[in-house]
Amino acid sequence: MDKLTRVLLLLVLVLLCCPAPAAETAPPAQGSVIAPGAAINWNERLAPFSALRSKPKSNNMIGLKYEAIARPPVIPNQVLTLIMYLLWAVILLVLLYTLRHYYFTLNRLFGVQRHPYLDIDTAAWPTVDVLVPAHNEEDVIADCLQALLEVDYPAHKMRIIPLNDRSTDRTREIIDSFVARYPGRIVPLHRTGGTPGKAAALREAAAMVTADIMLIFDADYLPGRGLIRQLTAPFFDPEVGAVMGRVVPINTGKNLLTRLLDMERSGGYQVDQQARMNLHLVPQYGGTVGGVRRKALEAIGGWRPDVLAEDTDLTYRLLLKGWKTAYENRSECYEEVPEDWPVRVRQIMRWTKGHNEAAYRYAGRLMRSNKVSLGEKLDGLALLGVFAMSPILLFGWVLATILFYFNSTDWLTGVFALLALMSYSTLGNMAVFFEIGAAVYLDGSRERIRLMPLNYLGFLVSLMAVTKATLEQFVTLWRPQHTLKWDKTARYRQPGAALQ
Amino acid sequence: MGQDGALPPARGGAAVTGHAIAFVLLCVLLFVLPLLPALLELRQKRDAAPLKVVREYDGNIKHFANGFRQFLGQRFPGLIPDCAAPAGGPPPAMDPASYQMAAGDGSASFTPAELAAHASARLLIGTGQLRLGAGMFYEKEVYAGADLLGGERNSFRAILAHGDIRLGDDCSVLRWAHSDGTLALGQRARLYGRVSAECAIVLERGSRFGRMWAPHIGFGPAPLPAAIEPALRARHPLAEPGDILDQSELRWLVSGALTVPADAVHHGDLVSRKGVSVGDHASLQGNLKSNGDMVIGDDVHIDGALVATGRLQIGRGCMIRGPVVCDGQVVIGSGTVIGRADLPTTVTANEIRVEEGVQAHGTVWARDVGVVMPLRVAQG
Repeated sequence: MDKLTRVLLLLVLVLLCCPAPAAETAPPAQGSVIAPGAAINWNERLAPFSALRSKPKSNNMIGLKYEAIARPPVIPNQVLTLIMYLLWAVILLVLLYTLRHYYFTLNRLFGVQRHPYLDIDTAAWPTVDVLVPAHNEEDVIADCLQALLEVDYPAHKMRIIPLNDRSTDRTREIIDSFVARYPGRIVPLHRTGGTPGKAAALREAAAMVTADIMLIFDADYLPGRGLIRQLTAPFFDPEVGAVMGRVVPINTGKNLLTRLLDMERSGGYQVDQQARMNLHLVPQYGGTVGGVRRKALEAIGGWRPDVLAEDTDLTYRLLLKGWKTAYENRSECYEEVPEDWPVRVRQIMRWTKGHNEAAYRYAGRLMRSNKVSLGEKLDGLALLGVFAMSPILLFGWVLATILFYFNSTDWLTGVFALLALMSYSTLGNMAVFFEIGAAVYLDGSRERIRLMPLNYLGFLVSLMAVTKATLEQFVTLWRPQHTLKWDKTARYRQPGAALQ
Repeated sequence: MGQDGALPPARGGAAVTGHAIAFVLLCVLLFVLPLLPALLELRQKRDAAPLKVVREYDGNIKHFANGFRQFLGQRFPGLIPDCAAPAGGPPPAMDPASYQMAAGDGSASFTPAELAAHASARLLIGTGQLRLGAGMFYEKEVYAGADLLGGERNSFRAILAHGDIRLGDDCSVLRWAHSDGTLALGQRARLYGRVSAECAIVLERGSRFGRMWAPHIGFGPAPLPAAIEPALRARHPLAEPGDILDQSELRWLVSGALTVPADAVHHGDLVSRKGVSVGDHASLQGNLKSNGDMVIGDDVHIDGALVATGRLQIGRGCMIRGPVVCDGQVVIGSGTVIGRADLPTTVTANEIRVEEGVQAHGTVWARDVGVVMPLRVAQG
């Protein structure tokens, strides 16, 4: 824990424990009795009246100690006490995530930045197989393959393996035309059956991989000339099992959603991922614009075909086996972000389920592992729980509301206010917004930062989508058959449009 | 009516409705006001372009040299061999006052004002060999169609030579330099930008550098010191450390500090979660990683990469085949060879200190500063 974290924790503790100023006692109710026939004094000032009781004295600002109220309880006091402790747990979690956001952002702004592998310019480069999973990608697959063929990497050390997973459009035809034009450089895998899904396709393709390194690009991605070398360079470090580059939205200016996602992506990569890299924590492999060492993949048993988020799953399985994921912030690649809210909601829900699945599988093992440092354990746990925070936050609001209406105002006032403050800080005002603002600043953008307040809309949508996905996940856990399907994000680009 | 206690005249319903509407409008205004910049940006799209991802630029060290070569070829037809004509027709001719072509004997001529200021703001172009005096600051690029021979204390913005570049002591290059042959600098050179050569770069003691690339980079005077010990020695296999965490895929992951004793030999990667120390004459066939400081003894052979998150000290007479990557400071002892002529590699660190007598093949990239140190005299 560094100095900054200690100071922030100390401030919070001081705030919680300091005595509150003496509360003003409300004047006794001036219940005047009006005699029959007496003239009404319309100018008389009445005492304030509230449906809630007047606020009694509390022992401190947050009301941890409270006086029993003499009235028949609607909900037993024991239950309310339990609710209160749950609420405090929620507040603590929210507070931890808030501090995490600040820590990462300040590190990114003022800390030492690590790009140790970026400068590996000349080397005996390892062999690389580039995998391009594709399911009905006729609009974009040609651009991706063409861009890969033009990269600055020794051609005899690189193969391109398009994974055509049961496409029903012209994807197969387009891939085969490239195979004919560039014999030996493209080795396709056309799947017509088997378990659907990207992870299953990757698992099947892994048998074809003979290279030291496998890189993965989604079919709508457009790698630049130097990208393959940049993504391969970290693998000279024998501790690195996977690498992740930065994705940059290409359809930024389409509408409000794309503009919000552009800023959100900036925050996630420019600040979150790079801060983790700086601090030797757990940068996350993101499933595309990245890669994995074949030996490391074999050591952990290959891709799991039964997971929704093969990227998160891979990150944690590698970590538990003592392999690191390296993040390359300057290895940038364009991607398309969703342009429609329903598509975005589906995407978020898919990520949520995959992430929660990984949390369920690996949180305990992460805490027990002897191959992972304490910092990595804490960061890894926070990363696993990031999608769980939305339902937890909503749960906190429900708890606070219950307490507010059933036994509330005397000792709840401080708690409620604190939750509101923390929720606002996390969702809207400072922590996340600060992170996004810093990312936009680091990216050198200027005007787009004005859109910051509208991000609240995006966060609210995410909050609801994540909560819905989590609830659905609880329900499906009890179903006898849990089927996987390739829930592909919609593509918007026209063929050839992005390379111009 | 008209008596005490009578109800005051009721206000009109229209007035109440008006106040309510005004109140609602005020609330809406207060809500929208902070969002106004966002809504304006959303409508006007002043900063809605995707972040710039330069797809064509691949970080090639010769990027600027190639650009300058193309620039000269287009503006001075015939000057640069095999230069493609510009796609959109010939560019506008340059102002004659903005450049000078060197005389037939290859020497530059300067105006009295330039001589007085010890600086020239003109592009200097030598069609063949170019000879330069001493003590000038060339604010624009310098090109030589053959060798470029410079005196002492010159400063250059950028240099491109079709032949060798040989400069005297105390010269500096501010942005970039490229030689199609060998680039040799005198003592105490200052190379702030990218420096590359197709054959070799030779730096003398006291020189400082940033990013360099050449098939062969020599630091200090040749010949190199002889190897400290014969290469062929009796070696013993490295014993398995007690605190090993993982040993899958020919990789040993060690939780504590790793010590490789002298004369040890090992085949496979070694990763330590703390520091690493390698004794003299050891031989490692694999990559070596330290999450802390790393000390490599003398006459160590490593057929792989060295990666350290702390400081890295490489002894004398070592042979390192793979990339050397360090988050902190690297010190390389005399007689050490990094990379091979047929397998060039990279040395990269924040600070690189190189003793005279070191050779590297490929890239040497000091993110903050690199320096050539005089050969230390062995103690005792």
